[in-house]
Amino acid sequence: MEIKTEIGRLLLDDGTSFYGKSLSKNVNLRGELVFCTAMTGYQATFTDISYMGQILVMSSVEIGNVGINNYENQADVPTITGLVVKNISNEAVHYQAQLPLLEWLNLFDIPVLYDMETRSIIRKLVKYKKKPIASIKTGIYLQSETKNLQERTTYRKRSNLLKEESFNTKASANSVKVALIDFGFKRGILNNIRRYISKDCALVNGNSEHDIRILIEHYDAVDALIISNGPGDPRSYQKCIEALAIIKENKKPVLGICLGHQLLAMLYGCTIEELEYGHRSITHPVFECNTKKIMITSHNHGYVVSKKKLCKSSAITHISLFDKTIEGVRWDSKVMSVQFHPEGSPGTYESHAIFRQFKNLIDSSCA
Amino acid sequence: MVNKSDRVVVLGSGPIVIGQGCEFDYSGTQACRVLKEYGLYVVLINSNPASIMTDKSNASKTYIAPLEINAVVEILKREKPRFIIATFGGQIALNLALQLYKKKILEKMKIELLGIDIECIDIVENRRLFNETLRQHGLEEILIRSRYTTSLESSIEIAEEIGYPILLRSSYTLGGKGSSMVNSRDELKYKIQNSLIASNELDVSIEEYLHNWQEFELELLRDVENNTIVICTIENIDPLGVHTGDSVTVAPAMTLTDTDYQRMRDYSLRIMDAVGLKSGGCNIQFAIKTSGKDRGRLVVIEMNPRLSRSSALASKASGYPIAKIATYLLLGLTLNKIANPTAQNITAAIEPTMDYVAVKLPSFPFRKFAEGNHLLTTSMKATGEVMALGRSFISSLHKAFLSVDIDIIEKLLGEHRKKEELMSSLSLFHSEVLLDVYSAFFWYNCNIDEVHITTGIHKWFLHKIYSACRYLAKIKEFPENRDRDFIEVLKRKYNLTNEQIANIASIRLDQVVKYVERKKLYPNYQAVDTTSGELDSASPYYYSSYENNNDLIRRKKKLVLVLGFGFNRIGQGLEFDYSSVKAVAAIRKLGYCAGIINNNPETVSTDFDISDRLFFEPIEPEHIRNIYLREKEMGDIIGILPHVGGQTAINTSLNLLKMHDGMPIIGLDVGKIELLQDRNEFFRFARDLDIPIAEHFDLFDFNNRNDSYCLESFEKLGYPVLVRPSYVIGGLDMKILYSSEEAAKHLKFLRNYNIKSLSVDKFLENAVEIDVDLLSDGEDIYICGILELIQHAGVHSGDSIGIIPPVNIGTRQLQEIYDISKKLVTSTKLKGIFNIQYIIYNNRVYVIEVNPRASRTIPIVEKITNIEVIESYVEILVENKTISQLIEEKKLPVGEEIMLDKPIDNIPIGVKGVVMSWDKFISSKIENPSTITLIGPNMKSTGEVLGYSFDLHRSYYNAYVSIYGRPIKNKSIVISVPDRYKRHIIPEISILCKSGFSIYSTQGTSTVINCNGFPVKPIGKLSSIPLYIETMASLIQSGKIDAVVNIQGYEDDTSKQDSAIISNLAVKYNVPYITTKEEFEIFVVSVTSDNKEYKPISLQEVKKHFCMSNGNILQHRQDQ
Repeated sequence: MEIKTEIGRLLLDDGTSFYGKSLSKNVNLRGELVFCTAMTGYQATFTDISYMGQILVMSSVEIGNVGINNYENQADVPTITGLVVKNISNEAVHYQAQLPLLEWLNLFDIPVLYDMETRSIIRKLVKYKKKPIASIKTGIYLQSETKNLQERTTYRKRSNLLKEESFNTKASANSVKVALIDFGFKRGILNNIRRYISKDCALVNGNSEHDIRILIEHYDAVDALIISNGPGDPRSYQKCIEALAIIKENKKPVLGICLGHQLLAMLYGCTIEELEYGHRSITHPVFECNTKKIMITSHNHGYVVSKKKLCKSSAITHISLFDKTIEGVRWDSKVMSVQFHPEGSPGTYESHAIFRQFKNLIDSSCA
Repeated sequence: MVNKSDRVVVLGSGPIVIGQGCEFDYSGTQACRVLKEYGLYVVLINSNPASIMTDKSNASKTYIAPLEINAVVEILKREKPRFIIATFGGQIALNLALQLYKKKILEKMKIELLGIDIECIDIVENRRLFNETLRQHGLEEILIRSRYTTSLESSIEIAEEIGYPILLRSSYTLGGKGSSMVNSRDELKYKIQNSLIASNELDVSIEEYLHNWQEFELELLRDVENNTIVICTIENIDPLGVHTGDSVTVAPAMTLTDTDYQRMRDYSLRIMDAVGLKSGGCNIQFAIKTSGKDRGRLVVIEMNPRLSRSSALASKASGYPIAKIATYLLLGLTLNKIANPTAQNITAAIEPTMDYVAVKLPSFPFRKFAEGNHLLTTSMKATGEVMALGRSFISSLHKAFLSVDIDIIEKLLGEHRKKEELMSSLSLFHSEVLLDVYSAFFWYNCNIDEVHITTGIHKWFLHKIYSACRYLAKIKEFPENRDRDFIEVLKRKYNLTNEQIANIASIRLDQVVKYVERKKLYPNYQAVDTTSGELDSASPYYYSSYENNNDLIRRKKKLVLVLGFGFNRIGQGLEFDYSSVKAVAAIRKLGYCAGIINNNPETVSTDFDISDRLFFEPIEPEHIRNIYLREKEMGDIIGILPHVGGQTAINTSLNLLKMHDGMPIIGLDVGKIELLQDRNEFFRFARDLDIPIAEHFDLFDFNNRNDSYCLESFEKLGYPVLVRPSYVIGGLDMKILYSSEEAAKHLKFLRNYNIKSLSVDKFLENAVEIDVDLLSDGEDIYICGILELIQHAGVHSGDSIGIIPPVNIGTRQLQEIYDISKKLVTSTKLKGIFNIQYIIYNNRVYVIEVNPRASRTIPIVEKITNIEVIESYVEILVENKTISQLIEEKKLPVGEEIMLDKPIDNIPIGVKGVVMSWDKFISSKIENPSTITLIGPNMKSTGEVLGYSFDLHRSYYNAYVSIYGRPIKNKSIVISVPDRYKRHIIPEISILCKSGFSIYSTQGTSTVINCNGFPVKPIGKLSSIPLYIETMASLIQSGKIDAVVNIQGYEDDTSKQDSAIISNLAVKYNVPYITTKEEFEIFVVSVTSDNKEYKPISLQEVKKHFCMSNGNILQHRQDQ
């Protein structure tokens, strides 16, 4: 297939440019530049809402090999602002592929720069002293140096409000009622909740005052809460976490994942630090302090909970063997959280154990 | 728990054979070094003298001894170890350990087997038990559907349930023998009977046939806490059915979704749990069905609970040294307690990620075994492999082709096949399928789906090759439509060399070179860091790519680059890796920065711990020069050492010098090297120096000479003649012709190749061949080692049994050898290391050839003589030392000082034995045997062993046991000799009979033995009646026969046939097989000797030298 290509440019805010090719015309988009080292699972990565507003560089050199299938999406649409890769395939040759990757990204107007020197970019990002902001420029904007560009937010926040009935009905007498407080959850989390914890899961929009109010009103009907991952700086969620103060007062089993972990940390008085560069990988080892076991886990975070203000009643449960940062905390007897993504998606299955552990926590607190 | 200073025995893997190559030297060397570093007392047992692991520095005690139970027990008794480790020596070591365990020897001696759980091995090695275990652990879904049957009725039922096509497999036959594909019920009815009979009334397994499934391999490490990480995922491009060792493979896997991959990963962990695998390395192979009904189905093919060829490949592909970490795990450390050897400041627990694609290509010895079966099957045939790294699949693939000496452009342009022919060739599993795919796309623009269905190759790879081919076709066919920057595209994207570009675009090379220079189209070097650039790399491991990122760091030390030897092939293998590694170590020791360029993933030299700079690149002029140009910017360079990388490194260096005469290649002078290597020039050179040399002429312009012209010229020289194409590796296509009929036949064979000129020598019969390794400083020489070859000259020295030091050569002749060597070498004024081959014919020393490089025998020479040959060579070339300086510094010993006060019987005598891998190529039909088992001037052996003692015959016997893994037990041999040898064997027969041997013999031979009054059991002429073949087969198969003696020589056609049948039978049933009169003599004395059994003596305990300097020959006979 002949593809009409044009020159594409990635401009970093320190003035460095990287050139490659692009299929998108007249793009002038801006975002935080981050990189991911996963060698499989780009579809799940590109649909992870936590990447919202970010331009993603893939370290793996052959991307698009397996096309897009109908079950690995974490959100309905790609959520990244832009994609930077070395080689891209535009054939859907995997036995489950429905669409070629490029075609799918084009459908959602996600610009792709390919033939890019991704290793050069990553080596630069690793040594970048501040948060790297970059823009993708093609066509008439190729040489424009303007920095005040719009950031893209592809992901539309859910408009349907949480209904009270969600908490009033129970699937069965024995089933556990879970509230998933959503800041942009990955479908993998919901799948694992259904698989390991309960089919009865109510979605609470963490950004919606309405939803939080309904949750608090029906708090007694809830057996367990899970706080999801989400995009951006956790410190900008101050209000949301204040609204959730109830979880510290009225003890129910709570599991925080990624952003959820950081929000719980803030609730328990810890501070959040920004990482030198974000961890976006599916091969990082995490040490489980209790069992002394190593788990290979999936990561996507640019922030981390600081060790400094951890209160005495809390215990660190997981430590990154990559950079010794906190990966999991038991805040008190019923509240736990992890920085990594126990659902994988993309990533290993061994960290699903976290959902099983949480189920045990629920069971023991119900008993 | 292992304590420091505990004694541990490590078992090596023995000689190189196809399927068990130098990858085990790599893992074994790493293991020994880690164990030693940890403070353990390491005792190493390995029969392979060419290996680096048997270098004295790698163990506390090194035994070059048979990997056979009796010998090993002797060593265990002497060393009294606490532990024994067998996971680094392949299947050989594993089987040996199992024997030691099952015979309760370990228990009696209170030795613990480290890293192996016997129960786990039993499960993994027995397919039925493995399946049963997985089923019990709820893993039925990943088993190949199979059932066992003992009758026709039930088999039809089972077949219907599984669905055709199916595979019938007789129980308890090895290596895929006795399995066949069945497509229909009628076919089943017919075939099941045979299978039931073949399985000796045991049951037959009926399996689903996995046609064109994709094959994947996961390399894993697990520690004592059951923490498990995946090091690498390898995808086979060839579909299931081709052995992984013969497949083109890619890492990381290219065609898996995360779900596919995570399922495999998760199943791997569950399989390890199910079979109870404790700590260590392991690989698990899976297959996925990618089309038709139930696509996406995943099955497990097999599991190897030890280090393997794939783990060596995975280590190099990922940058994560599996064997090294596996050794720590064996000692009980957990992954988080081990420092990551590649990425800085983290633990070994991280799973590597790759920001490049690694492609492995195998290389095959088919040209050596022209007659054998060349189709690829589940039994491995490749002798070696290369790996290439690049920033895309296609660029890595093109680099890999170059590394394995395939010029893809030349191949494409030289292709003249019709489409139908090409398509039918595509449908077979053979070694050049990928080249056929290129041709199909390049010449015929074939449809990807069609090629996919025909070859079973995944479409993703085909798409990539297709677009490369179409681009190349466009460049060739439409010069007017070329992009302005097409040269840049061909370089950056497709990794073609300047020469290839000139070739495909039909432009002059200098135009390409000019463009490249103007655009500065030179590659940069990327580090293999296991984290895709996330962390700084701690290991100096690089590959080239045309990108701006440069991971090479500036250095203060001056650089010396060593050229490696590339892929393992017959005639050029592990021995050269040994010399490369020693050279690198010597350079480092002198305080320089040592770099190596090599592309063989199985070797120690491509371990990134070995050198200061490892460039994983083709041994090809342009790639070498690019490295040189970039390194020049990083600091001073002394130069490039070409002598340790075999003929590959020499030839490449010569080509490089011809293109760029300013390249600092140390010790190489194009004119002088060509003088030595060109048969014609060398002949005149030797004549001018008054050095005896066999008559010779060159048949120039061979392609255009008709046969009668050639035959006439042979006649003029007089038969027998030795013919060979110039510049040979391992005697390729070299042949002795005894008559004009034979000559005519051989000419026909040679016409298949593009041979420019033929070198023809008068062949001197019944001569003794001598192999000499020496150092030269340009003015003076120093002979480090002399090997006396047992077989008559005419058998390639690489296939001949060798004795070092020589025991049957007179002092006067040795002196003569020294004088001639000195004259030859110093008159070229070349410095460096040389290997000279001589023959002694009618008491006169003739020179055969001079190789201006380190030879195959260097490792043996170093080990037997205790001389640091390679280290001295490096000092001569890099530091400009002279021989006399090195002698003064006591680096090179002078024999006299050391030897004169020692008793005669205290001289260690080494016997080098050779190992063949004929079993891979012999015909499956005995009545129609293959003649590949003939030995001659064309080297065929794949590996070597060393027997080592103070007595020649004991040494021979040790070598013999090392080769075959079995001592003489039953005192029964089969003998068959051609007429001209019949009366010469009587003295040997007499010795054998006196020692109580029973002798079985073919018709002619038995008559002669009988008439001389010795008992013999005759078997009729094999080629006359099939029954005789059966009798011979069952005799050899029975296990009663200790050895088959089948002396090769001039016979008529029927005895040739008989001889071939016997040899095929011996190879098939792995019975020791003796082919020459000379070996038969030493064999007989050795096996009838009373004290032939192995007596342990380690290399560290022998401190003797045998060397010649200033003409001072030092040899025990001088003391007399």
